[in-house]
Amino acid sequence: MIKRLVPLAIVVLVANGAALFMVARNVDGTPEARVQLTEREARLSDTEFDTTGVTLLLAWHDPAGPRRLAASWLTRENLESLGFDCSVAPDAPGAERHYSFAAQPTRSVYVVLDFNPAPTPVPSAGEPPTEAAPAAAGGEAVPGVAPRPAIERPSRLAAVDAGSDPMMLRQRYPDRTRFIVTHGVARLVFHAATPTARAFLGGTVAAVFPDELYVPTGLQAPLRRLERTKNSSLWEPLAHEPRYDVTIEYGSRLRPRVVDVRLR
Amino acid sequence: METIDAAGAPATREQAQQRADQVRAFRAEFDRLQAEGVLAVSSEQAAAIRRHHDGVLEDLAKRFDVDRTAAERQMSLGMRVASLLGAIALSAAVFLFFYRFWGLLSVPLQVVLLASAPIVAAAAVEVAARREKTLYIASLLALVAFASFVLGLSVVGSIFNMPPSFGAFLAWALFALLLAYAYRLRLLLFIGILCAGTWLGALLTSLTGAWWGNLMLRPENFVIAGALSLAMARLSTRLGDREFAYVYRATGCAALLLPMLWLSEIGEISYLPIDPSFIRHGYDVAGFALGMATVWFAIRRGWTETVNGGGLFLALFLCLKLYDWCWDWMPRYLFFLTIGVVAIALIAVLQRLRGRRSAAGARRTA
Repeated sequence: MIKRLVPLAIVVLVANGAALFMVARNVDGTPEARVQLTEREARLSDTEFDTTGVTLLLAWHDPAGPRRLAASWLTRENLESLGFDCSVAPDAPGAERHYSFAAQPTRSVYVVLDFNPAPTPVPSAGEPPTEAAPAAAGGEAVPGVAPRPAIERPSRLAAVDAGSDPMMLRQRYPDRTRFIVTHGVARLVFHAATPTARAFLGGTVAAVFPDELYVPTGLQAPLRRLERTKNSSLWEPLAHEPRYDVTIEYGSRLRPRVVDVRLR
Repeated sequence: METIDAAGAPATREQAQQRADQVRAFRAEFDRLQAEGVLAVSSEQAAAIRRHHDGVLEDLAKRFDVDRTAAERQMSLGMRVASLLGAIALSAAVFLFFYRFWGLLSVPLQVVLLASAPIVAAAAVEVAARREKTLYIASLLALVAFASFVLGLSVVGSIFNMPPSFGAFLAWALFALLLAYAYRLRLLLFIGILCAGTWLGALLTSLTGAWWGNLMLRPENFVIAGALSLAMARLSTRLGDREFAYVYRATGCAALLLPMLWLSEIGEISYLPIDPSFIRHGYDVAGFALGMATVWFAIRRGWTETVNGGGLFLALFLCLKLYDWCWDWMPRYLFFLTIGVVAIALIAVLQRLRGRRSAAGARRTA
């Protein structure tokens, strides 16, 4: 009996032990970032499971637009530094195939999230709000692409940069109470030519990991009483003012943990 | 590992069931030959043969709990289905039970429960295996143990907000394979091979810089996993473990052949740094060649299931290619007629091969 059970137990204990070791390393030393977010950015998860656990969904956005089709800060140089092959000119024959998702799938990167609690500027009376036109890969404005009207963001946590080296990103964004460096995935986006615009390359942050945060048992009480958010409404503004603030700490291994929850 | 002991008696339940089926088939044919007047055996000899076989079946039933009649065989099949459904239901119950109560538990207690659940379930497998020779309950509990381990690692990752990692697949593969070899469970072996193949595919994908979650976009990873699985099949056969060799072989062939379907359609997902249209044509040729080689080799070795699997793959592959080449320009009736003719030709070829094999077998017997 022992001969058959011991190897199984070893596998289970080693696997769990390895996970806990990584957790311990993460919390060792000074936090990499400590940010206080509101309910806009960390929403209560609503699930169909009959569960007593409480999790928060990280609601972040790409500032280039609600559909996140292109990030103006993800230039061709950025994309190449992330490992994408941008050697083919966007308007060259075969470019669409070269830049297809099948040929160049998403890549693991480190993402910088900027928590800027300042509200979106209100436009002057009588004029529609506008944003700058999206820039093509290379930084120049794309001819023929009209500026998009500004909208109220569902969240004030925005993806603003990505790179392969988290330490370099932290040097670029030293404010640890505003900028979060975390794991993520970037995607190259090819925009085909239209009658009014040339073909151009863009990119977007496709996901950040983790984007669902477990709230420790001791901090769950204030949140249990609140009505939960439907997951599908993450990309819509809150229907009410934020009801709580949550403090999240990112450890040295860039793994977050919820350290404080306060009702407003 | 030896599956037949020194006296020639079966050492595993599969071997024992084959022996029991042989006896039953012999008895039926013996009675038929006597009834047709082909065989004339004295009543003493017939009684001696019957007594001998009764003893064999009695011994096999006592040691391995084999099915002695067709009715028992059907009931065993029902028990296997019930075992699988029971495993799925129990695993779901464990999963949902944990989620129902985890918010009320402290983190250390959560971790202890998650880590101990698969170990406790494995101990239950051991107890069940000692009490029941057919291993239906043991295999059910083994699946629950595996599901508990998957749940445990996944939830530990969620509790501590860890990004998804493919390393967990390696741990799951090891656990499933250890269970499979300890209790001779083919389903756990299959699950272990799948997890190991997934881990390998994710590792190879991540080495290219791509996110490991894109492993399905690089099917050539599975060709490598398939080749390794076939190597394990060969090793298992050499060691005399035919039951597990079959699982390795079936999984290996699927992992080797199915990627050909994708790669012959989408050349961009290949690792090869050449023109995608050239890649597609290359995999067209490779798909047919590998498919036919699989069928031919399996026929020579007598691997019936592999012959059927290879034949099915060839048929699917051919239909797909005919669709790619002909659908746009060929009249619809002619297209389906072509597929029908190809199917008939395939049947004729396989019948001819079967006939040759039967003749070769008859010559060896003579």
